[in-house]
Amino acid sequence: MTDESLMVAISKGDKRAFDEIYNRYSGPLLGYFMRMLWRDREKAEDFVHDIFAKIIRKPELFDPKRKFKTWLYSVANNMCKNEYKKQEVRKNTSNGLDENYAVEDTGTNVLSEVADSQFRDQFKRSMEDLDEKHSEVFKLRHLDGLSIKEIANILDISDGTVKSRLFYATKYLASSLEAFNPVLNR
Amino acid sequence: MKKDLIDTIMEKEFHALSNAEREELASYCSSEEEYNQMREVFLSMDKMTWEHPKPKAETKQRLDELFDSTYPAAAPVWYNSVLSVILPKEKPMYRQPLAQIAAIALIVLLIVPFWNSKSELVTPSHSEQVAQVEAKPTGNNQTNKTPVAEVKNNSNDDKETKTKGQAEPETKTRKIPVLMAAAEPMQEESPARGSSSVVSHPDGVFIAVSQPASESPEMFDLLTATF
Repeated sequence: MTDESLMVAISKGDKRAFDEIYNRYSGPLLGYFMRMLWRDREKAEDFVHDIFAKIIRKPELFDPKRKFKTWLYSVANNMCKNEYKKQEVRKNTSNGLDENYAVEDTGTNVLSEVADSQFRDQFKRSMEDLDEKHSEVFKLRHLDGLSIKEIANILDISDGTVKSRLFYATKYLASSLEAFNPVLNR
Repeated sequence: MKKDLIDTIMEKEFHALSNAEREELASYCSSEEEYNQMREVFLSMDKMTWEHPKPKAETKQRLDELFDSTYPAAAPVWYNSVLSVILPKEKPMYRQPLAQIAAIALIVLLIVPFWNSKSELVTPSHSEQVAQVEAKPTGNNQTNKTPVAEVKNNSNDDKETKTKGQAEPETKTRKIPVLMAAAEPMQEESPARGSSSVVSHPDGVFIAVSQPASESPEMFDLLTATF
């Protein structure tokens, strides 16, 4: 069942549909909020509650013509922006991966052949070194699995800007992780 | 998810790119080497699995409570099924069985009063034929062949006389001498016919002669049947 049809069912009071949506997105959203809200787990939990409460109370806010995932992340992004305004200054400008984010390499790629811990540490450092706008796009693309178009809609920027930021972040990571990739060492 | 430029890079080697794709990538990758570097990063990222943290059970519990309060439990199944049959939401109002039943009931309710009034019109003189019969017992046990009862009719006397010759209620068919009235006094009647009473009336003087109902079985039957 698609996310969009689940939302229609939720608007009719279908509890199972809500449970399904929650199971699909509560984890990714918690990770997103933790990344965006200075790794504050309690705050991220509250935001997850708030965004799902919004789905329960006002499911009609979702336009079925739109893709649910894009809409959901747009709402999440706006919530974060409001929080930034509220806080005025972000407590922690670090935009690296959260401590609770476990990175697992299940492939047989060259990267899997190096020590996971070393790679993970280097990857985190590289992401932290990246400025916020570039790392955000990269994470939305690779951690949350959003397309360029979806990221553009969520962040309210053009597709070209998304691509530009994404390729910049990728080049940066490629150079910083070069030591872990024999291909890149050529 | 719709394929975008990143998917194209992950799927294709540099030599497999079309001219349009190379043109699109030109602003991001200046050379084949750069393309391959990026491709490796994308593929590596794609093969990694990211375990998202799980929210607390307490968060879900709070949301469940909110959901239950926002959407109260549905009505019993039988009630829902009956409602869905008689009030299907997908049908227009005029096609809903409940609306159709209500329309028929309304028509019936409108017709019934006219039906009753029509039956009254068929026998308009019914009420006029109702007469109050008072049988007055007399001390005279003498057999009087013509028992008389005082008759008060709601209608005028003409109608009363008219009813004599027509097919009338049981009193007529049984030949009970109940209706006896005259416009003139009948004082010259023989006293042997039973006790009589004189009633003055603007239209004349009515004399009613009565005798015990027991004397006349027909009268007795009539009285017992009436009361």
